[in-house]
Amino acid sequence: MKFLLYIGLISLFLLNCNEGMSPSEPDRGITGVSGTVYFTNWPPADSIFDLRLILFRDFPPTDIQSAILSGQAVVYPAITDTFQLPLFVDDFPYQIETPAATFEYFAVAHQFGTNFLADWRVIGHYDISPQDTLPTALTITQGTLLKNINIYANFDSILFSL
Amino acid sequence: MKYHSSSFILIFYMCLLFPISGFSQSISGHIVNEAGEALAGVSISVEGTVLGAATDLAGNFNIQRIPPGSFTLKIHMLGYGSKEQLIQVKAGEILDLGTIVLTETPVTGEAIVVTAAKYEQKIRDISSSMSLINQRELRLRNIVTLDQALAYVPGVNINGSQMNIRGSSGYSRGVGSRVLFLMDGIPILTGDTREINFDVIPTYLISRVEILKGAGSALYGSSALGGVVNIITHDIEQSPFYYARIYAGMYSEPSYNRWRWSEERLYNRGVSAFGGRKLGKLGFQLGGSYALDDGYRQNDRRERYSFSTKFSWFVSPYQELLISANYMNQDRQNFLYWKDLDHALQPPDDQLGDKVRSTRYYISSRYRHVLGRKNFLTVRLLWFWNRFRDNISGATGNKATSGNLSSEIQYSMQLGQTIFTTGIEGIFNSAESNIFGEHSGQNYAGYCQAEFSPTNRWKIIAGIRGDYFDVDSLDSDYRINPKAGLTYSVTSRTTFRSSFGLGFRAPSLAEIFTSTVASGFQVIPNTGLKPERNSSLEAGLNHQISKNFSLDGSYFYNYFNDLIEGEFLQSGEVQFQNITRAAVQGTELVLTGRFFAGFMTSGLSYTYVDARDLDSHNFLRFRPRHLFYWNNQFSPGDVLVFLDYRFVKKYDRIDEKFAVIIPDADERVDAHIVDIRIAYPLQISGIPLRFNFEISNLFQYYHVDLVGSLAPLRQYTFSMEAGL
Repeated sequence: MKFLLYIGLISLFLLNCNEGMSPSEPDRGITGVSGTVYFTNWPPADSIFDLRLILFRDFPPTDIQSAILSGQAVVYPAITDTFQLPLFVDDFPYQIETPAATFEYFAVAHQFGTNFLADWRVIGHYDISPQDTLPTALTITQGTLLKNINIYANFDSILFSL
Repeated sequence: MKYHSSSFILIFYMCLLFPISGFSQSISGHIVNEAGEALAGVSISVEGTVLGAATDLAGNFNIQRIPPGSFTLKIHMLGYGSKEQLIQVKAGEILDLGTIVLTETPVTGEAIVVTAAKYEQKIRDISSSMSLINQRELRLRNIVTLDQALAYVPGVNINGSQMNIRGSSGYSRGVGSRVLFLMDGIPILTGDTREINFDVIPTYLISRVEILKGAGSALYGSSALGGVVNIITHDIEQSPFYYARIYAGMYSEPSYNRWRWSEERLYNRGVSAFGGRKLGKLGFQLGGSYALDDGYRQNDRRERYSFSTKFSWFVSPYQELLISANYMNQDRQNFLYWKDLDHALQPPDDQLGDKVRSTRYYISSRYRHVLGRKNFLTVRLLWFWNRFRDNISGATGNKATSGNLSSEIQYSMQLGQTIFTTGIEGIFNSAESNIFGEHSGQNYAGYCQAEFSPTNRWKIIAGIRGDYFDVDSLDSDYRINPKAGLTYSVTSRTTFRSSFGLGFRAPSLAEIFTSTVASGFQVIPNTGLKPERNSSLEAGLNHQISKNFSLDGSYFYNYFNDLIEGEFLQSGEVQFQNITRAAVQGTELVLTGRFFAGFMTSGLSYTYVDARDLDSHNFLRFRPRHLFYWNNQFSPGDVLVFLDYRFVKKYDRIDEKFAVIIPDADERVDAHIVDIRIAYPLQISGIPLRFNFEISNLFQYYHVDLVGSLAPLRQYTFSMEAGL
C-alpha cells in the first residue's frame, strides 16, 4: 500500500512535466508515401547526373515534362530543390508528401547523361505483383501516409526510358 | 613508435618473480546480516597479504594458502558496516570462523576505496568528494556501456560520450578528456585524442567504479583536472564462478509523425558471459559479449563484440601477478546531428551512410608485493591500442591508429601514524593518421604523498608530483602540482573535509595536429597549444543524521587557466585554442536514507554549478547549471522496484556558431528523465537467476543531450541474468 502511494505521488509529480521538445509546428497527419529504396549495382559517379523518385498519375506516363511542371507528377526531391538522393548507399528511407490522388506509377528515375530533358531512365518501380506486366498503383487519401512502399532499384536493369 | 608490449611485460615480471613454497592452512566462514540472511559478495581480505575472497551466494567464503601467524581479517560490503577480526592461524590448521554478522547501514561512509590515495581507505577518511557505483547497480540498470551508469552519479553529466564532473568539461567530441579514466589504477585513455572510450571495458568485468571529484593531478598527473574515474575489475574467485546475461529491448515510436523515419520496430539486444576459477596458485577468467543496437535514430545502428581474459598467479601469500586483456570490435553508423527539428531523428542527407569501424584492445598487468601492514610495492603496466576508420570525409575517409603505454612503480609504507606513498610513472603515446599525421609523445613523472593521523579524529594529507612531457616536434614542458587535504571527525557521526590541489592537462596529439573536414566542420592544427591548468578547492561535511539517514554537503571552487576549447575562427574553421580564464564554483548536496524498515531506500542529490568565463563573464559552454538526481528502491517481498528521476538544466550557452552548420541548433529544453526497473530473483534447478524489466525514459520526454541530438526515446528492455 505504501509502495503504491509513493509510486502514485511520484507519478503525479512527474506527469506534470510536459513532453519536452516537439517539431516546429503542431504535427498533422501527413498525406503521402514512405518506405525504403534499396539500390544495387551503382555505376561510376560520372554517369550519375541526377536521381529522383517520381509518382505519375498514369501508366505509361505521357507528356512527362508537362506533368512535372504542372504538379500532376510528384518529384522527390522537388526539381527546385538542390538536394539529391544520396549516392552509393545500399538503402534510403524516404517520406514524400503528395496530394490525395491515385498514382499509377511510382518510379526511381536516373539521369544518365547531360541532357536534362532526354537522358532519363527508370531503374526501379513499385510493383508488388511482378508476375503481371503492370506496376502497382497507389491510392493516397487525405491525411493518410502509406507506409512500407519499398522499391528495389537496380542500375543494371533499365525498366523504362522516360 | 612501436612497442613490443607483450614481450616487455613478460620479461619485466620474470625478473621480479621467484618461486615460493605453498601453504596448506586455510580459513573459512559464513557471513549473514542481522536478520540471519546470507550475504553474497562480501569482500574479505587478510591484512598484510594479497589474500582475500568474496562470499558466494550462500554467504560462505574460503581463503587458502594462508601462512601461519596472526592476521587481521578485514570484512566489508557497501551498505554494511565494515568489520575487523583478529585471527591466529597455526601450521596445518583449517580454521572455521563460524558465522559473522554484518550490520546494515544505508550510508556509504564505511565503504573501502582505493582511488584517493592509491591504497585502501574508508571513504569517510578522504578529503575530497567521492561517489561509488557497485556491481549490483550496474547489473540491475541493464548498463551496456559505463557512461550510461555514470549519468546517475551526483555532479556528473554526460555530454554525448564526454564526461563532465561538476562543470569541468564542455563538449569537444570527446577529445582531451578533463576526467582521468583508470582501470585498476592505471590510465586508459587513447594515445591520440586522450579521450575516454567507455566501451573498451565490458561492464560485466566491473566490480565497482570510484569517481573522485576535483583536481587529482598531484597523484595522477595530466587529465585529472575535473576528477578521476577508477574502474575496479572483478577478482578471480577461489571457487568456480560464472555470470551470464541476455537482454532484448525495443524503442518506442516517437509521438510525432514528422519524427518517424522507419517503418520497422527498432530493437537492441545482446549477450555477455564470463567465468573462471582458481587452480592452486593460478587463476583464470574468460569472458565475451555481443551487442547489436538498431538505434532510435536513422544512421545510428551499432554492433559490437568483445573478448576478455584475466590470469592471476599467487606467487606467495605476499605476491600476486595479474594479467588481463580485452579485445573489442565495433561497427557503427555515425549520427552527429539532426537534419532539423522537424527531422530530429534523421541526419542531414549527405551524412546518410556515414559509418565508423573501431578496433581496440588492451593488455594490462599488475604485480603486487606486500611487505607488511600498509607496506607494499605495486608495479602496473598497460598497453592500449586503438584503431578507427570511417568514410566521413569523402571517398578516403579518416583513419587513425594510436597506442598508449602506461607504466608505474608505486611504493607505500606506514611509519607510526604516517603512511608514505611514492612512485614513478612513464606514459608513451603514438598516433598515425591521415587526420593527425604521425606523432608521438612522452610523459615522465614522479610523485610522493604522506598521510598523517595525529589523533583518531584528524587525518592530514599532503603530496606533490612533477611531470615532464614532450611531443616530438614541439618544445618540452614540465609541471609541478602539489595538494593538501584534511579530514576531521567532529563527532562519531560528523566528518569535516577540505582539500586543495592543482591540476593540469597536456594537450593531446589530436588537439595539436588535427587537420580534417568532417560533417561540415573543417578543423585546423595549432602547434602553439599550451597545457591547461586549474586550482581546485573543496570543503565538505558528512553527517550521519541517524542510523538510516545521512547528509553530505560540499562547496567547490575551480580556477582554470589556458582552458583549451574548440573555437570557430572568423574563416569558419575550427581550431583548438587556449581561450580563456574561467572559474567554476558550486555546491553539492547528497541525502541518502532508508524508510519504513528498509522497504524504501532513497538517494537524492542536487548540484549547482556556476561556470564563468572570467574575461567575458559569460557562462562557459555546455555546462548545465543545475543537476538533480533522485534514485529510489522499493522492496515489496522478493521483488525489487527501482524508480529514478534525473533533472538536467538546459545549457545556458552553446557554441553559437554551431547554428551556422546545424539547423535549429539553439533548440533545447530542460531534461526530465524517469526510468523504472523491476527485478525478480529466483532459483531454477539450483541456478540463481534474476529477471529484470526496465522502461527507460518512461514518459517519452524529448530533449537534446547535445546540439542537434535528441536524447534516447522510451525504451523497453527485458533481461535475464544467471550466476549472480
